[in-house]
Amino acid sequence: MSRVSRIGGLVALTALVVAAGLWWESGAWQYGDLSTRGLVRVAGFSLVALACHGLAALLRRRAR
Amino acid sequence: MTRATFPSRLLDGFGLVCALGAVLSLLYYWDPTRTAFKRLMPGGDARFEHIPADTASLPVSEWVTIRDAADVRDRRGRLLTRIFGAPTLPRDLMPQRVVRHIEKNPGKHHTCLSPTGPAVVHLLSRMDTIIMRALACEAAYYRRWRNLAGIDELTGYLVKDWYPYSIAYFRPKRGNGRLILYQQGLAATYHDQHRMIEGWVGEGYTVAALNMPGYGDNTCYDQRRYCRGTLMDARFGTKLAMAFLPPVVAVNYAMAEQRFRQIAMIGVSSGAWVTLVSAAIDPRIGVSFPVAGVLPLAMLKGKEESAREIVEGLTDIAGVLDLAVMGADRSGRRQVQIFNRYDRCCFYGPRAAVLAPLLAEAARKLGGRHQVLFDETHARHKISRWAADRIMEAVNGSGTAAP
Repeated sequence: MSRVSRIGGLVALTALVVAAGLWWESGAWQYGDLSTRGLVRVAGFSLVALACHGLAALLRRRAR
Repeated sequence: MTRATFPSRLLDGFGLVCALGAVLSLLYYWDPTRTAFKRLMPGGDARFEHIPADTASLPVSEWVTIRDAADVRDRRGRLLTRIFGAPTLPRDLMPQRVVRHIEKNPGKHHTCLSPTGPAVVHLLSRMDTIIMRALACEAAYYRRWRNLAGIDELTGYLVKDWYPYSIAYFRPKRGNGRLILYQQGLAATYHDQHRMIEGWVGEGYTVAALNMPGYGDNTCYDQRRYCRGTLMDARFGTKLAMAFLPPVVAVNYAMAEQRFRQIAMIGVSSGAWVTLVSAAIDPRIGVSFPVAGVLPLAMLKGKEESAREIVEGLTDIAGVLDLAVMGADRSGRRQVQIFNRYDRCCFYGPRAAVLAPLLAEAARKLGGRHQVLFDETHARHKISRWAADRIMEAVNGSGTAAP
């Protein structure tokens, strides 16, 4: 895994975990401190980021 | 060692951008950081921190014209005549139809427009279906609430082929003798506040939840369920009665079911205006909480102007400030107005601060109590946890917002 992959993956995963925690802690609903819509946006970006880094790692492994 | 190919580098770069997007989304959507953004944005200081010059120069002290109990009686009688066609509150008026345990037996109803459950409805539904969420469709999702004995649907048919009213009456298993009327505002239904209502029921409050006319079940979308049979008296088919009759019926029904030691009314946005008027005309409402709404008509700006039509036809009898004082017109009656200081929609900023001492003094002279609070914990148009905590302190007579 490249350094960029590691940093990007860690940032995405951290954002996802923090968002899920904040959403859950404030009632897990649209009118909580973090709205359901907000959680979905964060999750969307995070999962795409993780997928990109995963795919990049796979391509690098194959190119070895 | 791996050899970085162009596609993998591209994916890494795109992944990093998305990771940053996740962080920015988190900062944008989380209330504390969003509030900080709002404060720092250009014009934020003028919008949220200072009283505008055109507001500061208004003759607000002249707008409180209620002086004593006789004034209150006179205005209340005139308001009731304007709203209900008679100078007394229709205390004997009951719902035309009551469906007990709607969470178990919803009965025949129209196709549900947002049958997704409260948690995901905002993600999977269009706005025009969100504002039409029906109790018969949603009640099953509330069945497992802690301490919920049952939900009653209270309805009446107001305007032929056009408007019924529908009230959701949540009964707790172990009640605490307190009733909360919750009035939702525009562009939403009380189903959106399911967590808050669930919390109240869990703590033993009986809750009557209401929508604005034209929202949720307050339309003839479900013609067969709500708009058949005998119409109510024509005097209740007016625009004013459509908005202000349901809270009266909810209290009538609740009082017939059991005695309550406290009746509170909470309304958000346009619901705050209904709360303002309901508390003014119905002294049975002990404490009232207009949230994220209610300013004198001369102070309204932009989107806030839409609230004007809710009280149209009433403010020549009692202005907005007089209505507020009438909601706290005697010992034991109290009104707490809560404004979201950084509200991204409307009723933002410290404008209400110029009114607070006037209202407090006018209510004090009558024996009641009026308070204005500013919620600085978020930048949305909602009732926050902070506001909900202050409200419950006032309802229960505990904490910093206690009497």
